[in-house]
Amino acid sequence: MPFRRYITVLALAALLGGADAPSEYDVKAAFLLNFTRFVEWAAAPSPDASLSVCVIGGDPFGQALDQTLAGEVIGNRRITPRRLRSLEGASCDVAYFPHANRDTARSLAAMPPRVLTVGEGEEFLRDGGMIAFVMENRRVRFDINMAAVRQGGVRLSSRLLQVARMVK
Amino acid sequence: MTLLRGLFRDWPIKRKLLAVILATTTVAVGLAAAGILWTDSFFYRRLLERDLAALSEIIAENSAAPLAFEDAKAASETLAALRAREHLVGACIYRNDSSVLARYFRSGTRAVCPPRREELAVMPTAGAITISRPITLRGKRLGTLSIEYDLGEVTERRTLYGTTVLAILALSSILAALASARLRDKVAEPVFRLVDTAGAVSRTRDYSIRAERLTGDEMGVLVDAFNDMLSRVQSRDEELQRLLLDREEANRQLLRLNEDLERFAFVASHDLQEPIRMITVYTQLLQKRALLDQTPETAGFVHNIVGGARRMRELVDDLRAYAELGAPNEPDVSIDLNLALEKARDNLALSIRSSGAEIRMADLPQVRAYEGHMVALLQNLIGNAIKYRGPAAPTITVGYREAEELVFSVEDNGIGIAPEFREQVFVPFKRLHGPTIPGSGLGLSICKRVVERYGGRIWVDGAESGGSIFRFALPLEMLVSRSEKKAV
Amino acid sequence: MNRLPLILVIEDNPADVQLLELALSEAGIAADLMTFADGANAMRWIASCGDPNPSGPCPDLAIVDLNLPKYDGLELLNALRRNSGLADVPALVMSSSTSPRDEGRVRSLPNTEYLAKPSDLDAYAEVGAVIARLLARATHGG
Repeated sequence: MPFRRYITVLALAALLGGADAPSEYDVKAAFLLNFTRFVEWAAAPSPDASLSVCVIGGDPFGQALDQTLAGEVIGNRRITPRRLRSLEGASCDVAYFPHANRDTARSLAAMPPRVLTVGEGEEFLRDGGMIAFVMENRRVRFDINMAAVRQGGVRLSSRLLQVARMVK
Repeated sequence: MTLLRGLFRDWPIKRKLLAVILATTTVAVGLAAAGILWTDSFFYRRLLERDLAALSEIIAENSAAPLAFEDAKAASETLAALRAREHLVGACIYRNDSSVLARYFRSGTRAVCPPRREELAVMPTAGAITISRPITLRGKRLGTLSIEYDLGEVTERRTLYGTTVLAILALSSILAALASARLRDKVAEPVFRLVDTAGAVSRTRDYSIRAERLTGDEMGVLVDAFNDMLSRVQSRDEELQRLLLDREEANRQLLRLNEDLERFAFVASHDLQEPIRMITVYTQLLQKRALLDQTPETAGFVHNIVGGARRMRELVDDLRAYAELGAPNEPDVSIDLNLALEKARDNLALSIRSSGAEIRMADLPQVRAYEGHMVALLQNLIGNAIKYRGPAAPTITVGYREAEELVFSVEDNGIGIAPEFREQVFVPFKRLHGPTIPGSGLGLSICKRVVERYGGRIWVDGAESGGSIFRFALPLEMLVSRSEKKAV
Repeated sequence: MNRLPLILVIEDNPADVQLLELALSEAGIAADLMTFADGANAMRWIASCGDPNPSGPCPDLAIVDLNLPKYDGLELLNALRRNSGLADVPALVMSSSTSPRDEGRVRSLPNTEYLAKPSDLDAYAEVGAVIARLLARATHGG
């Protein structure tokens, strides 16, 4: 655990620092982990069930995804980062759609319930995504589409709304 | 302290009661106030700590999201909510690397973040409480919240309570003093009544006065005891008065009886004198003229009449002398006792001659007295010595010495007096011998009466010769001038 | 005047008068006695002796008892002395009183002798001697 905390701390410290500041996706990975903490997840189907964080269609995180998320535990569920070409046939708890994914709008329409969808850019919310990273003054912020959240049956902590840049 | 105790001791009871009441009130209110103050301080602090714990929890809760997403603005807004708490000095949200994400400081305070701790900690510092609380999210530590809260509130409460207590104390003291005035009267009134009564009794010596019983408490018991004592004193006083009156009456009666007796003795002795003289002289005449039949028998009769008459005359003479000692006499003048002794010896010349007595005389002093008394005194003592002489010719020595008293002695070589009779000889008509030695039985009584009249005393001792030594002592004040010769 | 000396006797006890007469005869004194048993009569008689020409004889000697009815002996003696005719007459007071006070008062008077009434027959010899002496003084001296 000390190691992982060290990573988190490093990531956050990098956000503030100047020279070797963490990269955009280091921050996004940390945020992604934090999002999972503000979601009330349904009880685990089995004791050793993991919490799958799926990156759909291309991985912009690089090493940051595994370094930040792998092994973290939410409740009694271990986070398992997964990289998928498409969502089809996969069971994911968090679905991340990188900017590069061209199939986002269609995937979102066919999204099963109770999957937190995170994407990039304001158009991701228009496509029916729940949380979208936006850049503001070279800082990573996020917007939330409450209608999509409710529609998707995801229970988000109101505290997350407090720190969102914008809530639709 | 001793002075204060002395002062308190001499205070009137009313003031003492007031002092006690006020002291009790002050102590009671003071103790209660101290208790309340302490308890309040204690519990209030506890309350405050709990309150702070709750407050910090809420803040920490609300800080979790801003901390998670590095939202300093949202974090500052969360802390800004603390502005409503005027005693909150400052609060800071630390990241896990001890850097500060957001801070809040009350205006006018040093902008120093309160220290952070790894665990939840409540740190009392001087005049303040600092609480450090980890900020977690789903069991994950995100940072730390530190809040510093000053204890001005406690001080404020203390000041408020103190002021209230002082006000209550002042008010309750005034109320207690007012309320106790009646109480004091109730308690002290019986005491004052009793004191008044005791004063009246000692002033008027009227023991019939009684104290009024106003209460059934200890004062009532005291009043009863006091009245009981008065009753006893009163009855004793009455008894004493009656005894005094009785004794005065008895004394008066005794005096009257004495006076009557003396007057009777005086009159009787004077009036008896003439008939006795007549009997004496005429029987002597009969004897001399031999007018009766000169038979030895009739001569004997006449002789007995003459003898009886003479003894009767002596008796009456002595009785008169004795009675006259009770009557007022000439004022005392300075007399030479040597001359008085001469006169006594002259009066006894006949018996001195017939008995062949030798009289040795010391030089006697001059005293202030009535000569007749001194002559009678000496004459009776010397006459007595001659009358009770032994077989040998009497030798009578008159002695004198000065000590604390003037002590005179008349020593004889006569038949003496047995020790058991030495007191009795001074009793009137008490005679130790039958008619063989003529005597009225008054001689020594006269001596005693004379000596006692001058405040002296007389007694008799046995002489070595077997005779008697009569001694009498007169007070030194009677002395006018000392004898010139040495006492024999 | 060739007459017996006259003795004024003021004495209420006849026995004493008798004893006095006996004492006089024992002493061989021839005298007339004028006897009064009480002071009042004696005073009246004394007063008559004060006249320039007395109707009767006046005494050469007065023998007075101290205790008398009506007037006592001292009063009588004072009356005697105030009477011009009797002022120089010698007086003899005879009393049964042995009080030194009485004796002292009597002896302070001029020309006055004091004798206690004898309680013994033998003592009457002295009475006779004193009367003889006083009479001799009265008849020769007066």
